[in-house]
Formats: sequence, C-alpha cells, structure tokens
Amino acid sequence: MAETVLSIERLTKRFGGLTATNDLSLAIEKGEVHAVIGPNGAGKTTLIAQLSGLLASDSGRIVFNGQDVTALPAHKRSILGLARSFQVTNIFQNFTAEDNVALAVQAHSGHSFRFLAAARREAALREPAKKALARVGLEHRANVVAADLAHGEQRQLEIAMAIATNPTVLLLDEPMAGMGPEESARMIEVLRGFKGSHTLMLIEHDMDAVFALADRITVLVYGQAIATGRPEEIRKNAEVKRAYLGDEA
Amino acid sequence: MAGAGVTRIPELRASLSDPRFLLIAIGAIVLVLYPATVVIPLPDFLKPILGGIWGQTYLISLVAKMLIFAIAAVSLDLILGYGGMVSFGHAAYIGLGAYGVAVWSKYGIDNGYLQLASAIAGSALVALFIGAISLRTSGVYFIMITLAFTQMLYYLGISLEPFGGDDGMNTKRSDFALHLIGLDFTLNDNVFSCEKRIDKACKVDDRDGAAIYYASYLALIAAVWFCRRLVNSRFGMAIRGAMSNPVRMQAVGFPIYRYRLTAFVIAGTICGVAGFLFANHQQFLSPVYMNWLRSGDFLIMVILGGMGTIYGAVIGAIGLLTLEEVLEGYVGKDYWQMVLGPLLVLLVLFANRGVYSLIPHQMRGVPMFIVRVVVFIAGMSAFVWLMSRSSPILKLAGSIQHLPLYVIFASILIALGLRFWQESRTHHG
Repeated sequence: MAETVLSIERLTKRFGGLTATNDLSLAIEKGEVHAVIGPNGAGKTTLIAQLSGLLASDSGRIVFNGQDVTALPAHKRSILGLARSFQVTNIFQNFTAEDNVALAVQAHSGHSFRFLAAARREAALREPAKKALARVGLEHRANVVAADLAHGEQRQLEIAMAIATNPTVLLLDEPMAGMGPEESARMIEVLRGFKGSHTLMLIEHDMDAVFALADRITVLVYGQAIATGRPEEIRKNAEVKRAYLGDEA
Repeated sequence: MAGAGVTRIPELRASLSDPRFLLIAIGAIVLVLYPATVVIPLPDFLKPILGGIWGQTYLISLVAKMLIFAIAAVSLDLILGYGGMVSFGHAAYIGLGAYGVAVWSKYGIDNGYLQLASAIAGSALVALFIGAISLRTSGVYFIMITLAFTQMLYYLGISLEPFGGDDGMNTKRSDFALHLIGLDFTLNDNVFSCEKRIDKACKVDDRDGAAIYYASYLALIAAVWFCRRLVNSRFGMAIRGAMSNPVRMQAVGFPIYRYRLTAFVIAGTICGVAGFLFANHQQFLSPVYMNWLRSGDFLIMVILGGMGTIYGAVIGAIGLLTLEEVLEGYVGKDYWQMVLGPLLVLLVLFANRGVYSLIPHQMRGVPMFIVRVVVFIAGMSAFVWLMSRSSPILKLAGSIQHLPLYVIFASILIALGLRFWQESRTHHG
C-alpha cells in the first residue's frame, strides 16, 4: 500500500442550500497522478479551493503530510508544499513570464522584508525561475510580458509558477481549459514530465488527457465520490457510465 | 562583486542618453541652485525672461512647499502606484508630523531631534492603526475608511483647544544644534547671509530660511532614492504582486496583509517627515493640514504625474502647486477651484499615464516633446486668460455656497475613476 500524502476526510462545503462538497473522503497517494472528473457543478473547483485554503470548509479534515491543515490560510499551505494552478488563468498580467515565476520562488525563500537590494538581479530568484520556465517549455518567452503571451503559454506559465515552489503535491484545476488540440498535446507532455517527481491531483474535462495521464481516477457527482479506481476500472464502471461518461465512453 | 561594477557602466551610459534621466538631473541641479539667486545678480540680458522669478523670496518659499508636498506625493505613490492602495487620507500624516513639532513647541521645547522623532513615531503608529483596519477592506471601502479616519483626526485637531483648536497656533522652527560638538544649526537659518543679499532683506521670521528649503530638498532626494530602491526590492515585488493579483499571491505563498501593512506604515512615516518639514516651513500648525481636500490634492499629484513611477509624483506636486498658484492669481481666490477641477479631468483624459510617461525615452523624441510642452503652456495661458475674462460667470457660480468645493471633490473622484478605468483597460485589453 502506497503512502498517503494528502488525505481528505469527510469534507463538506455548503453555499446556502447547495452542498458543493458533500461528506467527501479521498486519499491521494505519494507519486501518483490522481484525476478528479465529473459533470459541471460536481464541485471539482470548490474542492481545489478548499484544499488550497482559498475557501474555508464547513466540516471535515484535510491532512497533508500527516499535518492537519484544515484551518491554515492559503499562503501557509503553499509554504508547506501544497501548490495549485487556476482554471481561469491567474497570473501577474503586467509582469514578465520570468518575473511571475521569480515571485513564486521568492515566496518560498524566506521572508520578503528586504527593502534595498534589487530583486530582479538576485540569481537566487532568477535561476530557479528560469529552470521552472524550461520545465514547461517557456524559456524562450522569459522576458515577454505575461499579458502578451498566447493563451496556451499563459497556461504553461501557470504550471511553471506552481512548480517553482517545489511542491510535494500539485493541484491542477483544468490545465487544458480553453486549449486547442495542439496546445493540449504539449501540455500533456509537460505534465507527463512531472510524473514520478511530483504528486499531481488533476481536475480535467479533457478525457483524452485524463486517460493519458492518470494513475487513478475519482468520479465526483454532486460533491460525492461515486467511484475511485484505475482508468480501465472507471471506464467499465456502470454507475460512472450512467452518471457521467455515458456517450463519451 | 567585480562583476557588479562592470555591469553598472553600460547602465550609466544608457541613462545619460535617456531624456528622462537628464530631465531629472537638470531639475535636481536647478532646484539646488535656485535659493542662491538671492545673492547672485541676474545678468541684464536674462532680465526679460527670468526677472520675475529671480531672487524672489516668496517664490523660494513656494518651491520649498512644493518640495515638501513632493515628499508626501512620493510616499503616496509608493502605496498607490505600487500597492494599489487608494488612500484618501494621506494628509493625516502631514498633520501628525506637524503636531510632532507643535506639541513640543507650545511648551517651549524646540529640540529638532525630539520633534522629528515624535513626528516619525506618531505618524508610524497612527498609520499602523489606520492601516491595520483599512487593509481588511478593499476598493471603494478602503477609500472611504481612510477618508473617514483622516476626517476624525481633522475634527480631533479642531477640538484640541490647547493647540489652537480651529484657529491653529504659531510654532517655532526646530533647533538641531548640538552644542557638545559645536554644531549650531536650526531650520530658521538663512544660508545666505543678509549682508550678501541683493535686496538686503532679512527678517528673522520671514519665511525665507534657506535652511528649511535645503532640508526639504535633501529629504525629497532621500525619499525618492529610498522609494525607488524599495519598489525594486523583494519587498517591492511582494507589494506589486499583491496589487496585480492578490489571490494568486496568497496561493503562491505570500502573507500579503503584513507586506501591505508595512508599506502603508512606511508611506505614512515618510509623509510624517513631510509634515514635520511643513510645520517648520509655515511656522504654524493648523488642523486644516489634515483636511480631505489636501488628501485629494496628493492623489491628484500622483495621478497627474504618473502613478507607479515615483518621479512622476514629484512632477505632479510641482505641477499642481504651480497650477494652483497661477489660477489663484489670475482667476481669483474664491473661484480657482472651479477651474482647477475640470482642468484636472481634462489632463487625466489626455495625459492618461501621467506626465512622466510623456517624457520620451530616447533623444530623438526630445524635439517633439519640446513642441508639446510649448503648445501645452500656450494652451494653458490662453485658457487661464479666458477664465480670468469670464469671471462674472464664475462669480455667479461661486455665489452658490460651497460650490467650488463640490466641483473640486467631484473632479477628484471623476479623475480617479477615469484613471483606474484606463488602468483596467490597459491590463486586459
């Protein structure tokens, strides 16, 4: 049995009468790519927001590396090694690509109460930033202002920022959102490069990507996990077919 | 470290061919020499051009005031242009710095070190308090809360009868003498002695002390240098990131609240030093220093000069006070705000990234820039002349109680709104 790195225990989140996450329990194992799929409104993005700390949970526990992080604010979870990317591109638009990643590096290299030395000249920030850009294949675009990058490149930058913080677990919220087939294929290659070195929890609508990458898949419907298993098991599962895959499988 | 030295040389060469750098350098030199015009006779051939401004004591005093307000504007740009914090209460720290002088002065203590320390401590503590509460909000709420706190301080000042209340009180200039080491320096000094002066005028209480001018000048240079370093440091990147995308900053691991609060306190403290200098300049304390109109002025200075540039705030402060002076002189004491308001809106519309952004980056842009400046000055002169001619209309409008105040208030809000609308369009367009 593999070691559990992120454990979600009976987690619940309600918005008024709507229960977005409903008594959900899930264990993410170290080193795996765990995809969470489900129809629109299943509570996938809510789950990521709860895990990353941008949204408080109503009940339940989140245990990361053996530590209860349920009550920790987002920035502390990031420091512990729980990184996320966003479904809607969420970068520093007016900074260059390298500045974006350097800021992520800076967040994880001690406090930022340093007032006089020029941050853009610090090799300790720029070198890791360059490396992270290279891992997602953006090194040639390092000095381009983020707002001027193509959509696919901005998505790659999202991943570079998450990876630059040296996370143990990477929460990816629809990394393929809005991408064409060519960009998607490139992103799948980028993510495949993280297999083994990182634990990935991936939310995705693109089924080709999910089945190409995932070691295990959880199907979320109305905030509850109706099935968890290997891709081939999920493909065969009758309940999943009825609830979600239906015509696609 | 040898490598660092090598990379600096091309940078210096690059800045020498940058008109913006040259303009700043020329401005700094002109400002350092200006008070000396009281002891240097003006050559005859220059009299038609410079006669009006050469060796004029009241103008030297006005420029000193510009330098002091430039310090305040620079400190506001730090949080506004780099932190996205639209503080509509920055005048509070001018007032607090001034009280740092006045409270001691009332009891006959003129020790400048003590007064300056009080001004710094007082403004830092109040900024910490106001910031700690205001920074829990954002957007319009932040604007309104900072405004409300400053108005509270303003009314507190009015009700403080021991320190003159509504009427204010006279203060003495700070004394920085250190007799132990033979240092004998007060902010009341005239650097240029009376005998050498062309007009031979030398009244002790005249607001012509070159010492206050140069103290303000040095403080401004220090403030600009410090803020420029700050915004490019790790700390600066943290507050800029928090302005650009606060959610992402938290997700990436920054506790943004404490960085923003620190920036707010630093800005308040620098502005407190400006307040200390202002009380020395005016030799007077008044709660009006904390009036919301002054907070609005500081916002306008930063917006006019160019947010997020630091240098722009200096240009904005000098520009706005010049405009005020000219309009007050030609349009009249009661109505000039009615003219200034719409003018500000127009300026924000046309120089939408601020005056600093209009200065060319390369030498070949200079001639066109000079043409623009000349056209602007000519246009302004025509406008002011027109306004001074149509004063009956203004008089009629001015007869409605407080109308000039409403006009300036509305104009500041419109200018602010326009500026942020433009900003949001450039980021997402």
